[in-house]
Amino acid sequence: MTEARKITVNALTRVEGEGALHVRVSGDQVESVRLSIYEPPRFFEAFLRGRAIEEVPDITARICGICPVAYQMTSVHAIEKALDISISPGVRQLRRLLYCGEWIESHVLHIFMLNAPDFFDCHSGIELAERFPDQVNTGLRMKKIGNGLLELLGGRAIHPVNVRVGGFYRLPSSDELAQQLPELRWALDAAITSANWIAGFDFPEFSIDCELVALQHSSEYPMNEGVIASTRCPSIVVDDYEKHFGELHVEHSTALHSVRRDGDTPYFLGPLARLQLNHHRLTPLAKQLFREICPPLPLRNRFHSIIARIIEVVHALEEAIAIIEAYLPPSEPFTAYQSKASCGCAATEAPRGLIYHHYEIDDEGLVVSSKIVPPTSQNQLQIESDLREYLPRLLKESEDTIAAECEKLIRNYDPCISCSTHFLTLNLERR
Amino acid sequence: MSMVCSTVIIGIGSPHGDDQFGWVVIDELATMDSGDAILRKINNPVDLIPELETYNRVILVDASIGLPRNEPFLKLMYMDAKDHKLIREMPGRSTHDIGLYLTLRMAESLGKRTDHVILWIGHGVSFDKMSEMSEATVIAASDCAIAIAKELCDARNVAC
Repeated sequence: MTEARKITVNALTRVEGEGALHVRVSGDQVESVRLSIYEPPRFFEAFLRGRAIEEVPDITARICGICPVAYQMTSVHAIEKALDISISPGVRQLRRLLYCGEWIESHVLHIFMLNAPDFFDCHSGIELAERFPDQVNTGLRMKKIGNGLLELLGGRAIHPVNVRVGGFYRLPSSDELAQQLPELRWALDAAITSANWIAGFDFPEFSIDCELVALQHSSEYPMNEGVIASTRCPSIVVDDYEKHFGELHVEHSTALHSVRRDGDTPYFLGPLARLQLNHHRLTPLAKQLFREICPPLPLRNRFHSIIARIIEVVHALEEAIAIIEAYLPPSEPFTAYQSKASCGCAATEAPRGLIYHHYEIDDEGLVVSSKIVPPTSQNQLQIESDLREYLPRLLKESEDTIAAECEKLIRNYDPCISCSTHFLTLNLERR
Repeated sequence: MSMVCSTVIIGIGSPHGDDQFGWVVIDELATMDSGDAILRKINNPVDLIPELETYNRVILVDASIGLPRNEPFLKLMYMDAKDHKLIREMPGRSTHDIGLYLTLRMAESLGKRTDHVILWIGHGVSFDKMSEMSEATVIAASDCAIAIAKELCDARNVAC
């Protein structure tokens, strides 16, 4: 006799965007897990066709309200690669500073508003705020400091417009940057204090092996460039990304599922992967924190992502301070260039993982084609695989509990579902 | 954080359809005489919390579905009991499920004042990804900006 039951959760709460999760269970066996997400970057790929390359950074920044810098940065790097444009060292540092701002504000939002409530069985950030007002207030102030960097370097707080192919439209003055220092220094202390608070959380045990993938750079913690490193396979250059990583169409989702081409296997991106592959490149205080609070390697427990995130916040703050303290305005805000028919790709590290762009440009400087692979769609298959492993321990629980625990697990990946989905409904079918 | 005697007007929005209402109102206000009011655009409501202690008056502009059809926009006082109920029941959706009402409640949990918050809510119909604002909402945004600017002008002689 087959009994089918269906649980519906109106929304996967405290993630960016919306999606749907369908689970089919037979007895104590999980038969299938399907995460349905819908993927606007595909729309943008079509939207960019025929547009001038100068428009690309501003258009791609609008793909996501949460990580516009990641889209913008990856697009300019890819176009600069195509056109053999070398940016000046000063501009490169300012781009890292801009990325620091995005990592700070995005990670802090996730830590204090979205993820930390899970460790205290709080149903919302409001409940967490009632129990831990000092910590949440600290988080909000840190987020504002990250926003301040975005506003200064990006030209405005939302959908930055100051980044251009070859550099920036306008360079910040030394004074403008120096004004950020007192708050950044406060935030660095606050982040270290927060990290010690987070390290004391009661972490569920969920350690399963998987392939971790992140950029790796020879001299710095990866943000804007590097090779694509893995815990299972040899590193590859970004130019070879599409040879090694492919995308599958699946019936249940308009988002493409990224896989390793050689075995159609999933892989895992994001702070845990970055930290596993790059901890030796952390800034001094972040490295000290890593030694003090990070669980032993390899980093496999998905619930430890929040630790990786706060260590990266410390890193980003420390690096931001160092960049500003050493800042000498570049002689030119951007490198001049001439367009030509060409192709180029780039990968950078968005807060939630590696993001890849590829552009083909014609000799008039118009986009012929583009490919945009956001981190959440790359993590999607890994999330499904992890849920399949995680669910058996929950099957004796009530359906509300199962849904809530699935949400908690998914939040560890910080899915930016608005880049790839709308609304999560959980359908659990028991047979 | 010291409070200054001033007004901030915060447009909350996204690039998606009528959700641009709050941002467009700010753009319109930037072309008008809005006194000394500080104009800001945000896309995540939680970013307004730190502003609550910085300004003497906080005006929030956002879009919502479900307003009466004959009301292109509404002015609501957060501390007014009747308005508060309406704000609480507004079918708001926002980034990470942290909508305007939840954000203001969170602010209260954090000990921030909310008695100086005024909301201007535009009637939204379509929030499709990257779609244009509807013609009616564009007109409403312009009218809303005029109404806010007029209020600011009328209030200019009132000590804060």
